Amino acid sequence: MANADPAAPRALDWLRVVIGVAAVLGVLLAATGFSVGAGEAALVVRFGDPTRVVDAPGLHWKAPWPIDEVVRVDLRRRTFETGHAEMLTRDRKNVVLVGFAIWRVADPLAFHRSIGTIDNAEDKLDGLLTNAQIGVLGRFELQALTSTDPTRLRTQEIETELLAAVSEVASAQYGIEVLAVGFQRLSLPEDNVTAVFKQMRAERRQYAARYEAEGAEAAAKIRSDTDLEAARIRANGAEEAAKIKGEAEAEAARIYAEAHRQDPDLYRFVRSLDALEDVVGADTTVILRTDSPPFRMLTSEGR
Amino acid sequence: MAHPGESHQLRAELLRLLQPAIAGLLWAVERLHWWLSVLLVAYLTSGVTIVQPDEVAVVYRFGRLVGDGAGAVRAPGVLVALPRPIDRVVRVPTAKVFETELRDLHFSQTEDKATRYLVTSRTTLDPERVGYVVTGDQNIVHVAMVARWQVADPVAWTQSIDRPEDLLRAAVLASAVSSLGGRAVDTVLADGRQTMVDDVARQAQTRLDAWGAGLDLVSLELLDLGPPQQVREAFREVQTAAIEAETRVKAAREYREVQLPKARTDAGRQTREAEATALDLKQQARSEADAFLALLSEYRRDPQVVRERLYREGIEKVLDDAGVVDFVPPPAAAGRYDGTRISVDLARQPRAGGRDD
Repeated sequence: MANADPAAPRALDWLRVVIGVAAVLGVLLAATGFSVGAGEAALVVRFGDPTRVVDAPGLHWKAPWPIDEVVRVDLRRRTFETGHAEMLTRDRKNVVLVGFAIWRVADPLAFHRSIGTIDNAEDKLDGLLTNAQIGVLGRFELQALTSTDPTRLRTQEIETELLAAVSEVASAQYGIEVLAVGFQRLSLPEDNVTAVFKQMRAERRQYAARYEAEGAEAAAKIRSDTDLEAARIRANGAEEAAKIKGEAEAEAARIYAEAHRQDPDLYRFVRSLDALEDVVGADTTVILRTDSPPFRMLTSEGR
Repeated sequence: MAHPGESHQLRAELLRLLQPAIAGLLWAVERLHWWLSVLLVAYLTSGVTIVQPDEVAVVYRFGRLVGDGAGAVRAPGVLVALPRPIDRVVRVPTAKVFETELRDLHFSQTEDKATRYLVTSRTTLDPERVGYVVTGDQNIVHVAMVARWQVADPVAWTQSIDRPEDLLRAAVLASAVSSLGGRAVDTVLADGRQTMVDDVARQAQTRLDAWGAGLDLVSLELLDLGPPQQVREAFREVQTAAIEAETRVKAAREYREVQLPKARTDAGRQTREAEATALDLKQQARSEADAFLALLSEYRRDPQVVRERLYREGIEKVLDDAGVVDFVPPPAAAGRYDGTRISVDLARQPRAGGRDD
């Protein structure tokens, strides 16, 4: 299009200026400014040699690229978990442990010089932690880790000793601060588990037998107590009955006695006759004098 | 001479080539310059963030935290901040409850079912493939938990910790290992279960606080806790034995429930019978006494006759009952019986008149 708008060159210039200034500013800023976030530190590396540690968050300045370079180091706390490692306690028991460490970079410069990356740091920590575990556990018995007796448990102490063993080297050599060390798994070697199972089964059998015996004992006690109590209740009943009867007999005797007292002689007579009547049966032979009444009537005397 | 002309020519050529692009750009600037303004405004206001009701926000200016202490944490609402790369707004879900399943100490640690079957059906347990805990009395139990947790410190969350869930896992697992390592398997499997879980939660929170994690363990819940399959049968037998023992005791109690009332009934019957007998006895005594008194009054009127009658009645009765009656004559004056004896067998001999047949 040949009929160019007179405004076109002016707009073109304006655009050129804006883009140019923006580009120059952008390049300058990108080359000489950098920001450091909270939770990280930056190393300014001049010609490959880390000269300056910037750990204050904010905007900072440096010389442009070929001179200065910025290396960022993450300072946040992180978890490292070891693999399964078998070790020996003082009482010659094997345990398989998985340890962990909570750690962070405390000295970015030392960290950068000695290790550089988080992955490498974890390799170093693995070695440190495993060695410390082997060393510390060799001084404790298995009971220090698993025991029903609280006075024998020394978990806290073991963790403190492990931390001391690890953190000194980590901080002096790698610029790493280890905040805590512990175990997140405690297992037994595969070969020992069978024996543990055997022992568990034996223990269970023992418990089952004990329950059985205790149940039988309790039941037997209840039954014999019941029998005893029932017998006592019946005896009380019998006693009560005997007492009632005895009182009644005494009362009866008193009634009799009162009546008989009026004429003991007649009473004796009547009693004797009654007794005689009671004594004589079908196979009794009665011997009578012919002069005894009523047979006296048959003899001369009767007349 | 050719050079300036050539370069001029080149420039003209280039301009001609770029003509459509430049024209398009100019057209865009002309027609859309208000659009650009809109874009610019949009960029400048891009830092304005709406913080949702269940979250808070923290602002970093060139990486540095804006405000300190409690002032650094922005409440829900509209938050005015500068656009990137000057300000960075991080929203933190403080009201959200995160859920983390912990199966490292459980046989379900291996997610693949076929492998899990293989590693758990053996007579032993490979510690690298089957999770478990050793209790204080050297028993093995599997435990699976679920932890619910929240962000307590938004600033720590954004700048002090990396992968918070890892910290939480380490804290809970270490606490579980040490807590179960101090308890007997029976307390853990029975009524000590909740105490154990509470202890683990408390220990884990203490650890998290010591590490400056800024996390709150809201709740810890057991998904599963039990002995390995290899010994489960033995544990079941104990339960069966316990139930059987209870059944026996219950049967004994039932026996008691039946026997005691029975005894009481017996005792009651005995006393009631005795009371009846007592009544009879007294009744009899009174009637006999009355009879005697009646006789006595008669006797007093005429003693000789009554005595004689009584005697005769008695003898008659005796003779009626007796089998054999012997008669002897009264002795002579010397007082000795002479041996004369007349025997009458009343049972066999027909009585006077012989009514036999």
